[in-house]
Amino acid sequence: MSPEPHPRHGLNQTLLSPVRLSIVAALSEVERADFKSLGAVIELSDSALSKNLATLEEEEIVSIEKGRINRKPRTWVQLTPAGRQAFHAHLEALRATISTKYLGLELEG
Amino acid sequence: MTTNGNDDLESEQAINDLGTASRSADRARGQGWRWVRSYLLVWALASVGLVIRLGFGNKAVIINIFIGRAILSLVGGNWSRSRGLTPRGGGRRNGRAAGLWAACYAIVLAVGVTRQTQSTGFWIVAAVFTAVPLVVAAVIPAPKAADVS
Repeated sequence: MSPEPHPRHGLNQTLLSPVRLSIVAALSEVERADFKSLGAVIELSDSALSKNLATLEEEEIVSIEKGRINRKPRTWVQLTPAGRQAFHAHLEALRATISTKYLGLELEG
Repeated sequence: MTTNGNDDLESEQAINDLGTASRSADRARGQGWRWVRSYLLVWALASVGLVIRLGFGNKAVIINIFIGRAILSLVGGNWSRSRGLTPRGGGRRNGRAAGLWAACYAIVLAVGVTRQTQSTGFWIVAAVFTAVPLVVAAVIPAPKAADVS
């Protein structure tokens, strides 16, 4: 019988970057966020945010929509359902990684 | 490096990552709910002022109040749409508060205006009555973080 795969295999490669993880975590708590507010929340420059959002959009973790409010252009960012699922799975894998460590200690003790 | 050494590093990294995610989620949630609360409290204050003016105004004042009310709704709605962060559940809470406020306001209008009530006490109580659903919606704690804890 093959052993259970290590929880690290459940980690999402895109979310291994702390910046992208921060972006997705912030988006997980809002229905949508505009580009400027999101940048302010995670304390990231416009260019870095833009670059990381492009990666997340490519992976279909977030969706980006451009619009106008009071004739001013706004860029709205939202977590996609697949992105939310990927985030959940990533968090579970992180928690399992910690549990595995403590479980290991328990067994050793 | 031993397997245990790798496990330690991975666990530390996982703890750090969970911390990062939790802090970002908390900040976004906090900011989002702060504006929801501010919006509801400003609306509650406006409602108190509106109803008191309604009670003590003549017909011209009442017409102006209705126009002011329409402008306030448009400006408020527009402002709420333009906020940068809409917390999860914030729209639902605003919607429920708005519905309850509309019901309270309709009751106040029905009782106060149709009966031409002149009692100061009635209008003060009515003003507070219309603000109750908004204040309650503003002070109820935000729901707990959905994904990150």
